Amino acid sequence: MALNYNFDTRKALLEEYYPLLEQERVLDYELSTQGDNPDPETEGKVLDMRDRLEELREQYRKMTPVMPLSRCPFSLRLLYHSFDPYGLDGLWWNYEASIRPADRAPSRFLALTGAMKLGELEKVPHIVKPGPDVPYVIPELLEQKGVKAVLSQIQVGAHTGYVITYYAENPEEHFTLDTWGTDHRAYVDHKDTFHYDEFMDDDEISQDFDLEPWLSQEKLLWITPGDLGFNLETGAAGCPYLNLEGSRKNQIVLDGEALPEIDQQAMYMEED
Amino acid sequence: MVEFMQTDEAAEVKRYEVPMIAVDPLMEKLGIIRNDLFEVIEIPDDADTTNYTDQWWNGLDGDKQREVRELLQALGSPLQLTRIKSLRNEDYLMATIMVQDSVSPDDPGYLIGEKDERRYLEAQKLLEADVISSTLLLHLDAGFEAAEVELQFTIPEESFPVFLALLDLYRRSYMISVLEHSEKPTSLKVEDVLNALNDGIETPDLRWNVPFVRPILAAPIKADLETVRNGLYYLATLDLIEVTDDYSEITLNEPMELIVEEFVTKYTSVALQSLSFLNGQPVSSTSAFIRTTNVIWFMDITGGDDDSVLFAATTLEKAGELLAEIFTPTGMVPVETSVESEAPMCPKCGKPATWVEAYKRWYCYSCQEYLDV
Repeated sequence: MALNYNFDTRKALLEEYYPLLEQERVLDYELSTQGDNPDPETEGKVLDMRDRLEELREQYRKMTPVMPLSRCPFSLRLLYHSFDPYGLDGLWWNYEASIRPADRAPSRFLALTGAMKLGELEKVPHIVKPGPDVPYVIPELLEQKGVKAVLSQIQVGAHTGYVITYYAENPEEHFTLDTWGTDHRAYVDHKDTFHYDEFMDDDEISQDFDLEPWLSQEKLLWITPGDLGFNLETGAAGCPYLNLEGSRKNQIVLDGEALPEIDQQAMYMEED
Repeated sequence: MVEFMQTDEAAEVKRYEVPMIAVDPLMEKLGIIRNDLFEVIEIPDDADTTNYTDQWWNGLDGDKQREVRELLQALGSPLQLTRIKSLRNEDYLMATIMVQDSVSPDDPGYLIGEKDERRYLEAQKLLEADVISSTLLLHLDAGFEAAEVELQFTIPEESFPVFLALLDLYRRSYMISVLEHSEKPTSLKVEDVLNALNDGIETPDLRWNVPFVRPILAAPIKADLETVRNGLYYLATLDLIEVTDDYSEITLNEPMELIVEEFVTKYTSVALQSLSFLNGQPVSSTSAFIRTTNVIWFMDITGGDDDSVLFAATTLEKAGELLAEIFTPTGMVPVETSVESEAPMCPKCGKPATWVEAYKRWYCYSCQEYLDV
């Protein structure tokens, strides 16, 4: 992990990465059209570009901050997790090929999900799935005995992110969810064991945007935005995450545009 | 901060050494939260004016960086700090601070100390925090069963050192009697109790009760004849001793005879001083365990409303429960946020900005630029 990572070093890295990625794709396509006799010079260039892209990805992975995002309501331990707070153009947010350091899961950690009120969008060639505009909970998970969730807020460049973290007294007894912004869940647990899961069956879960009952039952706790102590608050009174305006549909961000996930899928179907 | 630590029993420990000068800059650069308990740990906050911190950090491989970062995360936001001093067989001293950033006993904990004249922060990671209470319990077990004894009393805090001095005096008198082939002492002089108290204050020899317990007492020991007499009078009201009318000599009654004879041979002495928070307020607890030939003794020195010390014989099982309770943090620790909460958030990175008085402007250290506020 780099110590002097900041907005400018990240910007410089991405300004090299994306044009190079585009060039590599163009040349790769060119090679694919050359059949069995590819141009050796182009082939060499593509290999060099791939090496450099890999270097940049590794550099990005190392420089990605590990930030306090939440606090476990069972152990009261702070949850530090890798996160790119500078914008959705970061490779951390690439849904299909997210670049992240190996995250460590504290003993009661179950899942990290999120929502995001989008501001001015970045133009990037990868798919970003930041969730809906407003925070929600997964009832199928939260209603289980010994499971609690914590809601907190974080700025992601021009966007307002809502971190929804699930914890359990015995995490191994529950199903889990893909991590925010990715199509999988990869963690090293507190006993140094690596876990990789893909939670693909979206039909089995729903999103509940009516947070008040969960807050009243103290199944859902919250952290005041900007509270550097990450103090856990309970109850619906004073909760700033209630009745937020915005879409309740999952969004897909691609190339500077955001569409509700369902509509985008319909659009692809129409195109087909 | 303590001088050193040694734990060879704690299984599966990982050890780290971090240059003291790099601790504070690393916490700053890694964005690690520091709460009010962190302030209790004496980490120098001198600015590292060289790029030594960066060089040192870049010399670590990825795994080591992660492990050091996790250590600093725990160090920055402890839920409880416990100073531990354990003397075994009057020879082997463990002195360390236990850092716990979780209330769960199966979460990791760190034992920290310092090395090379405070040049390095030394840390041992315990994969599960309750390893420390198991280790101390093992020391108290001493390899043979302790007897169950029903004996318990409270004593005013001011008189407690007098009681300890009496134990030390008997032990010394007993050792002399052995050397001189004479009978074991049956009475002791009040003047000698005062001398034992003074000796315990002046000589930091942890093999004796007064110097071992003195550092964890809330108030300085009063070493004058009046305090000694008051202490002895209190012990007499408990029927532990008898004092002559002219307050010159004391004789021991039956329960006190058992106590003093037990304290002639000590296998393990453990002193614990923990600091945590409850409902936003700091709470501390201070206690000691001493394993003598047949008995495990517990001393709750925290002092309640009446400022008294509990002295009790206990069992190994009960000692285990007490240790588990001592090593369970009580609640959240505040983070000083009054300044930060007023700070505007950087629109680029979302982190709070810092006020630069010289330029009367808000500055984001992450993005290294001033905010247009």
